[in-house]
Amino acid sequence: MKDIGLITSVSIRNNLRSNIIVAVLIAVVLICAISLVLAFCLLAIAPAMKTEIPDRHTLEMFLSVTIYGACLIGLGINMNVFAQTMMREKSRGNITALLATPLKASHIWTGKSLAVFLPGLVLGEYILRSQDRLSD
Amino acid sequence: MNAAISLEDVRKTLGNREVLKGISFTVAIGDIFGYLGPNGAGKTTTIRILLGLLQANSGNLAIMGQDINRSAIRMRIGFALDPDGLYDNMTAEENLGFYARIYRVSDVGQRIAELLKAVDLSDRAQDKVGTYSKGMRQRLALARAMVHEPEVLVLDEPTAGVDPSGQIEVRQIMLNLAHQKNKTVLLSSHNLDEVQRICNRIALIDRGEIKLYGETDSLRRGMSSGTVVIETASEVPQTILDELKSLPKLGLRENQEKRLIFSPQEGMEVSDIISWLTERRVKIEGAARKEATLEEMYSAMLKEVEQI
Repeated sequence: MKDIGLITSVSIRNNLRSNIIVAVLIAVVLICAISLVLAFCLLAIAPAMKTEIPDRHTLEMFLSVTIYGACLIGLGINMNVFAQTMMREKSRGNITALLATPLKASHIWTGKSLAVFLPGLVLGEYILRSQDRLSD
Repeated sequence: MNAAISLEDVRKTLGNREVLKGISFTVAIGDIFGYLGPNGAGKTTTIRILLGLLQANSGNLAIMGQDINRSAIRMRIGFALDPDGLYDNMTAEENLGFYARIYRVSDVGQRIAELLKAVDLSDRAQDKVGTYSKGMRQRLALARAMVHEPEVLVLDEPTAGVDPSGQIEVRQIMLNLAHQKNKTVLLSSHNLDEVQRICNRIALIDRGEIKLYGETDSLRRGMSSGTVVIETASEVPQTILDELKSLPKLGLRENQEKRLIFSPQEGMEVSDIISWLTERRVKIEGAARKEATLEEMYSAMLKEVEQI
Protein backbone atom coordinates (compact mmCIF):
# COMPACT_ATOMS: atom_id res chain seq x y z
CA MET A 1 0.00 0.00 0.00
CA LYS A 2 2.87 2.35 0.83
CA ASP A 3 4.33 1.87 -2.66
CA ILE A 4 0.96 2.48 -4.34
CA GLY A 5 0.50 5.64 -2.27
CA LEU A 6 3.97 6.85 -3.22
CA ILE A 7 3.42 6.24 -6.95
CA THR A 8 -0.06 7.84 -6.81
CA SER A 9 1.08 10.97 -4.99
CA VAL A 10 4.11 11.52 -7.21
CA SER A 11 2.07 10.90 -10.37
CA ILE A 12 -0.71 13.29 -9.27
CA ARG A 13 1.88 15.96 -8.56
CA ASN A 14 3.50 15.32 -11.93
CA ASN A 15 0.15 15.36 -13.74
CA LEU A 16 -0.85 18.57 -11.98
CA ARG A 17 2.35 20.22 -13.13
CA SER A 18 1.80 19.10 -16.68
CA ASN A 19 -1.74 20.53 -16.42
CA ILE A 20 -3.40 17.21 -17.33
CA ILE A 21 -5.71 17.20 -14.30
CA VAL A 22 -6.51 20.88 -14.77
CA ALA A 23 -7.53 20.10 -18.36
CA VAL A 24 -9.83 17.30 -17.15
CA LEU A 25 -11.40 19.53 -14.48
CA ILE A 26 -11.95 22.37 -16.93
CA ALA A 27 -13.53 19.97 -19.44
CA VAL A 28 -15.97 18.52 -16.87
CA VAL A 29 -16.87 21.92 -15.43
CA LEU A 30 -17.42 23.33 -18.94
CA ILE A 31 -19.70 20.44 -19.89
CA CYS A 32 -21.76 20.93 -16.69
CA ALA A 33 -21.97 24.70 -17.29
CA ILE A 34 -23.03 24.30 -20.93
CA SER A 35 -25.68 21.75 -19.91
CA LEU A 36 -27.08 24.12 -17.26
CA VAL A 37 -27.15 27.05 -19.70
CA LEU A 38 -28.98 24.85 -22.18
CA ALA A 39 -31.49 23.85 -19.50
CA PHE A 40 -32.25 27.49 -18.62
CA CYS A 41 -32.45 28.45 -22.30
CA LEU A 42 -35.02 25.72 -22.81
CA LEU A 43 -36.98 27.06 -19.83
CA ALA A 44 -36.77 30.56 -21.24
CA ILE A 45 -37.98 29.67 -24.72
CA ALA A 46 -40.67 27.24 -23.54
CA PRO A 47 -43.37 29.97 -23.09
CA ALA A 48 -42.58 31.44 -26.49
CA MET A 49 -43.00 28.04 -28.05
CA LYS A 50 -46.28 27.74 -26.17
CA THR A 51 -45.21 24.53 -24.54
CA GLU A 52 -45.95 23.67 -20.98
CA ILE A 53 -43.33 24.93 -18.48
CA PRO A 54 -41.74 21.84 -16.98
CA ASP A 55 -42.52 21.16 -13.35
CA ARG A 56 -39.85 20.82 -10.64
CA HIS A 57 -39.69 17.02 -11.02
CA THR A 58 -39.04 17.22 -14.78
CA LEU A 59 -36.36 19.87 -14.23
CA GLU A 60 -34.65 17.70 -11.62
CA MET A 61 -34.72 14.78 -14.05
CA PHE A 62 -33.19 16.98 -16.75
CA LEU A 63 -30.50 18.25 -14.38
CA SER A 64 -29.66 14.72 -13.25
CA VAL A 65 -29.34 13.46 -16.79
CA THR A 66 -27.12 16.39 -17.85
CA ILE A 67 -24.88 16.10 -14.79
CA TYR A 68 -24.56 12.33 -15.11
CA GLY A 69 -23.86 12.86 -18.80
CA ALA A 70 -21.16 15.40 -17.97
CA CYS A 71 -19.61 12.97 -15.48
CA LEU A 72 -19.65 10.19 -18.10
CA ILE A 73 -17.99 12.45 -20.66
CA GLY A 74 -15.49 13.42 -17.94
CA LEU A 75 -14.81 9.73 -17.37
CA GLY A 76 -14.23 9.29 -21.09
CA ILE A 77 -11.78 12.19 -21.07
CA ASN A 78 -10.12 10.66 -17.99
CA MET A 79 -9.62 7.34 -19.79
CA ASN A 80 -8.16 9.14 -22.77
CA VAL A 81 -5.83 11.12 -20.50
CA PHE A 82 -4.83 7.90 -18.71
CA ALA A 83 -3.88 6.28 -22.04
CA GLN A 84 -1.93 9.39 -23.09
CA THR A 85 -0.13 9.58 -19.74
CA MET A 86 0.88 5.94 -19.97
CA MET A 87 2.10 6.34 -23.56
CA ARG A 88 4.06 9.47 -22.68
CA GLU A 89 5.67 7.87 -19.63
CA LYS A 90 6.49 4.74 -21.62
CA SER A 91 8.16 6.68 -24.43
CA ARG A 92 10.17 8.77 -21.95
CA GLY A 93 11.34 5.64 -20.13
CA ASN A 94 9.59 6.50 -16.81
CA ILE A 95 7.69 3.21 -16.73
CA THR A 96 10.75 1.13 -17.70
CA ALA A 97 12.78 2.80 -14.96
CA LEU A 98 10.10 2.01 -12.38
CA LEU A 99 9.81 -1.60 -13.56
CA ALA A 100 13.55 -2.06 -12.99
CA THR A 101 13.17 -1.11 -9.30
CA PRO A 102 12.06 -3.57 -6.59
CA LEU A 103 8.46 -2.30 -6.95
CA LYS A 104 5.84 -4.83 -8.06
CA ALA A 105 4.41 -4.19 -11.52
CA SER A 106 0.86 -4.40 -10.11
CA HIS A 107 1.65 -1.63 -7.59
CA ILE A 108 3.02 0.60 -10.34
CA TRP A 109 -0.08 0.17 -12.52
CA THR A 110 -2.46 0.65 -9.59
CA GLY A 111 -0.65 3.80 -8.47
CA LYS A 112 -0.58 5.24 -11.98
CA SER A 113 -4.28 4.46 -12.54
CA LEU A 114 -5.31 6.01 -9.23
CA ALA A 115 -3.32 9.15 -10.06
CA VAL A 116 -5.53 9.77 -13.09
CA PHE A 117 -8.89 8.46 -11.87
CA LEU A 118 -8.83 9.65 -8.26
CA PRO A 119 -9.17 13.40 -9.04
CA GLY A 120 -12.01 12.59 -11.46
CA LEU A 121 -13.77 10.48 -8.83
CA VAL A 122 -13.43 13.23 -6.23
CA LEU A 123 -14.83 15.81 -8.66
CA GLY A 124 -17.69 13.49 -9.68
CA GLU A 125 -18.57 12.91 -6.03
CA TYR A 126 -18.53 16.69 -5.39
CA ILE A 127 -20.79 17.41 -8.39
CA LEU A 128 -23.30 14.73 -7.36
CA ARG A 129 -23.40 15.99 -3.78
CA SER A 130 -23.89 19.55 -5.03
CA GLN A 131 -26.77 18.38 -7.19
CA ASP A 132 -28.35 16.63 -4.17
CA ARG A 133 -28.07 19.86 -2.17
CA LEU A 134 -29.64 21.84 -5.03
CA SER A 135 -32.52 19.39 -5.23
CA ASP A 136 -33.13 19.66 -1.49
CA MET B 1 37.36 -14.29 -9.63
CA ASN B 2 34.43 -13.03 -7.52
CA ALA B 3 31.70 -12.53 -10.07
CA ALA B 4 29.38 -9.56 -9.71
CA ILE B 5 27.53 -10.47 -12.90
CA SER B 6 27.61 -13.82 -14.65
CA LEU B 7 25.79 -14.94 -17.76
CA GLU B 8 26.04 -18.46 -19.10
CA ASP B 9 24.62 -19.56 -22.44
CA VAL B 10 21.83 -16.96 -22.36
CA ARG B 11 19.40 -17.16 -25.26
CA LYS B 12 16.57 -14.84 -26.16
CA THR B 13 14.20 -14.87 -29.09
CA LEU B 14 12.04 -11.85 -29.95
CA GLY B 15 9.40 -12.72 -32.52
CA ASN B 16 11.10 -15.03 -35.02
CA ARG B 17 14.55 -13.56 -34.48
CA GLU B 18 17.08 -15.04 -32.09
CA VAL B 19 18.51 -11.87 -30.54
CA LEU B 20 20.92 -13.58 -28.14
CA LYS B 21 22.50 -16.82 -29.34
CA GLY B 22 23.92 -18.26 -26.15
CA ILE B 23 26.05 -15.45 -24.74
CA SER B 24 28.34 -16.00 -21.76
CA PHE B 25 30.53 -13.59 -19.83
CA THR B 26 31.51 -12.74 -16.30
CA VAL B 27 32.06 -9.35 -14.70
CA ALA B 28 34.26 -9.35 -11.60
CA ILE B 29 33.58 -7.20 -8.55
CA GLY B 30 35.15 -3.75 -9.02
CA ASP B 31 35.40 -4.11 -12.80
CA ILE B 32 34.40 -1.42 -15.26
CA PHE B 33 33.15 -3.72 -17.97
CA GLY B 34 32.63 -2.37 -21.47
CA TYR B 35 29.86 -3.99 -23.45
CA LEU B 36 30.25 -3.06 -27.10
CA GLY B 37 28.55 -3.82 -30.34
CA PRO B 38 26.85 -2.27 -33.35
CA ASN B 39 23.17 -1.29 -33.33
CA GLY B 40 20.90 -4.31 -33.11
CA ALA B 41 23.70 -6.55 -31.81
CA GLY B 42 21.82 -7.45 -28.62
CA LYS B 43 23.34 -5.06 -26.05
CA THR B 44 20.11 -3.49 -24.85
CA THR B 45 18.38 -6.89 -24.78
CA THR B 46 21.14 -8.20 -22.50
CA ILE B 47 20.78 -5.18 -20.24
CA ARG B 48 17.01 -5.53 -20.11
CA ILE B 49 17.38 -9.19 -19.16
CA LEU B 50 19.90 -8.26 -16.44
CA LEU B 51 17.46 -5.72 -15.02
CA GLY B 52 14.58 -8.20 -15.06
CA LEU B 53 12.66 -6.25 -17.72
CA LEU B 54 12.81 -9.22 -20.10
CA GLN B 55 12.97 -12.94 -19.44
CA ALA B 56 15.67 -15.02 -21.11
CA ASN B 57 14.46 -18.12 -22.94
CA SER B 58 17.27 -20.19 -21.48
CA GLY B 59 20.61 -19.88 -19.70
CA ASN B 60 21.86 -18.99 -16.26
CA LEU B 61 22.11 -15.43 -14.99
CA ALA B 62 23.26 -14.23 -11.60
CA ILE B 63 24.09 -10.91 -10.00
CA MET B 64 26.22 -11.07 -6.86
CA GLY B 65 25.57 -14.81 -6.92
CA GLN B 66 21.80 -14.42 -6.76
CA ASP B 67 19.10 -15.25 -9.27
CA ILE B 68 18.17 -12.04 -11.09
CA ASN B 69 14.46 -12.80 -10.96
CA ARG B 70 14.35 -12.31 -7.18
CA SER B 71 13.12 -8.81 -6.38
CA ALA B 72 15.64 -8.53 -3.50
CA ILE B 73 18.49 -8.47 -5.99
CA ARG B 74 17.10 -5.29 -7.53
CA MET B 75 18.00 -3.47 -4.31
CA ARG B 76 21.63 -4.21 -5.19
CA ILE B 77 21.49 -2.91 -8.76
CA GLY B 78 21.51 0.68 -9.94
CA PHE B 79 20.79 1.58 -13.54
CA ALA B 80 20.84 4.41 -16.04
CA LEU B 81 19.00 3.61 -19.23
CA ASP B 82 18.39 5.39 -22.49
CA PRO B 83 15.91 7.20 -22.39
CA ASP B 84 16.73 8.24 -18.82
CA GLY B 85 13.19 8.02 -17.39
CA LEU B 86 13.52 11.19 -15.31
CA TYR B 87 10.38 13.26 -14.67
CA ASP B 88 10.68 16.55 -16.56
CA ASN B 89 8.10 18.33 -14.39
CA MET B 90 9.88 17.49 -11.18
CA THR B 91 13.08 19.01 -9.77
CA ALA B 92 16.32 17.05 -9.42
CA GLU B 93 15.69 16.79 -5.68
CA GLU B 94 12.17 15.49 -6.19
CA ASN B 95 13.32 12.94 -8.78
CA LEU B 96 16.01 11.60 -6.45
CA GLY B 97 13.66 11.74 -3.45
CA PHE B 98 11.09 9.63 -5.28
CA TYR B 99 13.61 6.89 -6.04
CA ALA B 100 15.17 7.15 -2.58
CA ARG B 101 11.75 6.38 -1.08
CA ILE B 102 11.22 3.48 -3.48
CA TYR B 103 14.54 2.00 -2.33
CA ARG B 104 13.71 2.75 1.34
CA VAL B 105 16.78 4.95 1.84
CA SER B 106 16.91 6.00 5.50
CA ASP B 107 18.17 9.60 5.50
CA VAL B 108 16.71 10.83 2.21
CA GLY B 109 17.60 14.54 2.54
CA GLN B 110 21.23 13.94 3.38
CA ARG B 111 21.65 11.27 0.70
CA ILE B 112 20.18 13.56 -1.99
CA ALA B 113 22.49 16.41 -0.96
CA GLU B 114 25.52 14.08 -1.14
CA LEU B 115 24.56 12.76 -4.56
CA LEU B 116 23.84 16.17 -6.05
CA LYS B 117 27.20 17.35 -4.80
CA ALA B 118 28.92 14.27 -6.28
CA VAL B 119 27.44 14.92 -9.72
CA ASP B 120 27.92 18.69 -9.41
CA LEU B 121 24.25 19.61 -9.58
CA SER B 122 23.76 21.14 -6.11
CA ASP B 123 23.18 24.62 -7.56
CA ARG B 124 20.43 23.33 -9.89
CA ALA B 125 18.73 21.08 -7.30
CA GLN B 126 15.52 23.14 -7.28
CA ASP B 127 15.23 23.43 -11.07
CA LYS B 128 12.88 21.28 -13.07
CA VAL B 129 14.66 18.48 -14.95
CA GLY B 130 12.95 19.61 -18.16
CA THR B 131 15.24 22.65 -18.15
CA TYR B 132 18.43 20.55 -17.91
CA SER B 133 20.94 19.97 -20.71
CA LYS B 134 21.59 16.40 -21.91
CA GLY B 135 24.82 16.23 -19.93
CA MET B 136 23.11 17.37 -16.73
CA ARG B 137 20.35 14.82 -17.26
CA GLN B 138 22.91 12.04 -17.67
CA ARG B 139 24.66 13.10 -14.48
CA LEU B 140 21.34 13.16 -12.65
CA ALA B 141 20.52 9.71 -14.05
CA LEU B 142 23.84 8.51 -12.64
CA ALA B 143 22.96 10.05 -9.27
CA ARG B 144 19.61 8.26 -9.37
CA ALA B 145 21.41 4.99 -10.15
CA MET B 146 23.52 5.48 -7.01
CA VAL B 147 20.74 6.66 -4.71
CA HIS B 148 20.57 3.36 -2.76
CA GLU B 149 24.32 2.70 -2.94
CA PRO B 150 24.04 -0.40 -5.13
CA GLU B 151 26.92 -2.80 -5.58
CA VAL B 152 26.37 -3.16 -9.32
CA LEU B 153 25.67 -0.37 -11.81
CA VAL B 154 24.24 -1.12 -15.23
CA LEU B 155 24.66 1.86 -17.54
CA ASP B 156 23.27 1.95 -21.06
CA GLU B 157 25.07 4.58 -23.15
CA PRO B 158 25.54 7.09 -20.31
CA THR B 159 27.40 9.56 -22.53
CA ALA B 160 25.24 9.32 -25.64
CA GLY B 161 24.48 12.81 -26.96
CA VAL B 162 26.62 14.49 -24.30
CA ASP B 163 29.16 17.16 -25.27
CA PRO B 164 32.90 16.42 -24.72
CA SER B 165 33.13 18.23 -21.37
CA GLY B 166 30.01 16.44 -20.16
CA GLN B 167 31.50 13.12 -21.29
CA ILE B 168 34.63 13.77 -19.24
CA GLU B 169 32.52 14.53 -16.16
CA VAL B 170 30.37 11.39 -16.56
CA ARG B 171 33.50 9.30 -17.17
CA GLN B 172 35.13 10.69 -14.03
CA ILE B 173 32.08 9.82 -11.96
CA MET B 174 32.17 6.23 -13.27
CA LEU B 175 35.89 5.92 -12.49
CA ASN B 176 35.38 7.28 -8.96
CA LEU B 177 32.60 4.78 -8.38
CA ALA B 178 34.70 1.83 -9.43
CA HIS B 179 37.99 2.84 -7.87
CA GLN B 180 36.98 4.63 -4.70
CA LYS B 181 33.79 2.80 -3.82
CA ASN B 182 34.61 -0.59 -5.38
CA LYS B 183 31.36 -0.67 -7.36
CA THR B 184 31.02 -2.89 -10.39
CA VAL B 185 30.03 -1.05 -13.56
CA LEU B 186 28.64 -2.65 -16.70
CA LEU B 187 28.85 0.02 -19.36
CA SER B 188 27.17 -0.39 -22.71
CA SER B 189 28.52 2.13 -25.19
CA HIS B 190 29.20 2.98 -28.81
CA ASN B 191 32.00 5.29 -27.77
CA LEU B 192 35.08 3.11 -28.32
CA ASP B 193 37.50 5.76 -27.12
CA GLU B 194 35.61 6.07 -23.85
CA VAL B 195 35.54 2.30 -23.32
CA GLN B 196 39.27 2.06 -24.08
CA ARG B 197 39.99 4.78 -21.53
CA ILE B 198 38.01 3.49 -18.59
CA CYS B 199 37.10 -0.19 -19.01
CA ASN B 200 39.46 -2.85 -17.74
CA ARG B 201 37.48 -5.67 -19.38
CA ILE B 202 35.34 -5.73 -22.48
CA ALA B 203 32.99 -7.93 -24.47
CA LEU B 204 32.17 -7.31 -28.11
CA ILE B 205 28.80 -8.59 -29.22
CA ASP B 206 27.58 -8.85 -32.79
CA ARG B 207 24.36 -10.42 -34.06
CA GLY B 208 23.69 -11.97 -30.67
CA GLU B 209 27.10 -13.61 -30.25
CA ILE B 210 30.10 -12.58 -28.16
CA LYS B 211 32.96 -12.14 -30.63
CA LEU B 212 35.65 -10.86 -28.33
CA TYR B 213 35.89 -11.00 -24.55
CA GLY B 214 38.66 -10.40 -22.05
CA GLU B 215 40.92 -7.81 -20.46
CA THR B 216 41.16 -4.68 -22.60
CA ASP B 217 44.97 -4.41 -22.39
CA SER B 218 45.70 -8.05 -23.17
CA LEU B 219 43.23 -8.01 -26.06
CA ARG B 220 44.88 -4.92 -27.47
CA ARG B 221 48.33 -6.48 -27.12
CA GLY B 222 47.08 -9.69 -28.72
CA MET B 223 45.52 -7.88 -31.65
CA SER B 224 48.58 -5.70 -32.25
CA SER B 225 50.71 -8.87 -32.80
CA GLY B 226 53.89 -6.93 -32.15
CA THR B 227 53.45 -4.01 -34.54
CA VAL B 228 56.45 -1.65 -34.35
CA VAL B 229 56.30 1.99 -35.40
CA ILE B 230 59.53 3.82 -36.26
CA GLU B 231 59.52 7.60 -36.70
CA THR B 232 62.30 8.90 -38.92
CA ALA B 233 63.73 12.43 -39.23
CA SER B 234 63.31 12.47 -43.01
CA GLU B 235 61.70 10.38 -45.69
CA VAL B 236 63.43 7.00 -46.11
CA PRO B 237 65.15 6.61 -49.51
CA GLN B 238 63.54 4.18 -51.95
CA THR B 239 66.64 1.97 -52.12
CA ILE B 240 66.46 1.30 -48.38
CA LEU B 241 62.76 0.68 -48.63
CA ASP B 242 63.32 -1.86 -51.40
CA GLU B 243 65.97 -3.56 -49.30
CA LEU B 244 63.61 -3.60 -46.31
CA LYS B 245 60.86 -5.18 -48.41
CA SER B 246 63.20 -8.01 -49.34
CA LEU B 247 63.70 -8.87 -45.64
CA PRO B 248 60.59 -10.70 -44.40
CA LYS B 249 62.04 -11.13 -40.88
CA LEU B 250 61.75 -7.35 -40.33
CA GLY B 251 58.27 -7.36 -41.87
CA LEU B 252 57.88 -3.84 -43.27
CA ARG B 253 54.15 -3.36 -43.55
CA GLU B 254 53.61 0.30 -44.33
CA ASN B 255 55.59 3.37 -45.27
CA GLN B 256 53.87 6.66 -44.36
CA GLU B 257 56.31 9.48 -45.23
CA LYS B 258 58.38 9.72 -42.03
CA ARG B 259 56.86 6.69 -40.40
CA LEU B 260 57.63 3.01 -40.98
CA ILE B 261 55.32 0.33 -39.64
CA PHE B 262 56.72 -3.18 -39.14
CA SER B 263 55.21 -6.51 -38.19
CA PRO B 264 58.47 -8.31 -37.35
CA GLN B 265 58.75 -12.06 -37.23
CA GLU B 266 59.05 -13.81 -33.87
CA GLY B 267 62.43 -13.35 -32.25
CA MET B 268 63.03 -9.93 -33.83
CA GLU B 269 63.18 -7.03 -31.38
CA VAL B 270 62.62 -3.30 -31.87
CA SER B 271 66.36 -2.81 -31.30
CA ASP B 272 67.13 -5.11 -34.29
CA ILE B 273 65.09 -2.90 -36.60
CA ILE B 274 66.67 0.26 -35.17
CA SER B 275 70.23 -1.03 -35.60
CA TRP B 276 69.47 -2.21 -39.16
CA LEU B 277 68.21 1.29 -40.04
CA THR B 278 71.01 3.21 -38.24
CA GLU B 279 73.58 1.09 -40.06
CA ARG B 280 72.12 2.58 -43.25
CA ARG B 281 72.30 6.11 -41.82
CA VAL B 282 68.57 6.50 -41.35
CA LYS B 283 68.04 9.06 -38.55
CA ILE B 284 65.49 7.75 -36.08
CA GLU B 285 63.40 10.11 -33.94
CA GLY B 286 61.27 7.57 -32.14
CA ALA B 287 60.34 3.92 -31.90
CA ALA B 288 57.51 2.11 -30.12
CA ARG B 289 55.56 -1.09 -30.05
CA LYS B 290 52.04 -0.19 -31.07
CA GLU B 291 49.00 -1.66 -29.34
CA ALA B 292 45.83 -2.05 -31.36
CA THR B 293 43.18 0.52 -30.54
CA LEU B 294 39.71 -0.62 -29.66
CA GLU B 295 38.55 0.92 -32.91
CA GLU B 296 40.95 -1.32 -34.86
CA MET B 297 39.81 -4.37 -32.90
CA TYR B 298 36.20 -3.44 -33.51
CA SER B 299 36.66 -2.96 -37.25
CA ALA B 300 38.67 -6.20 -37.46
CA MET B 301 35.81 -8.03 -35.78
CA LEU B 302 33.21 -6.52 -38.12
CA LYS B 303 35.37 -7.41 -41.17
CA GLU B 304 35.68 -10.98 -39.92
CA VAL B 305 31.89 -11.22 -39.54
CA GLU B 306 31.36 -9.80 -43.06
CA GLN B 307 33.77 -12.39 -44.51
CA ILE B 308 31.84 -15.20 -42.78
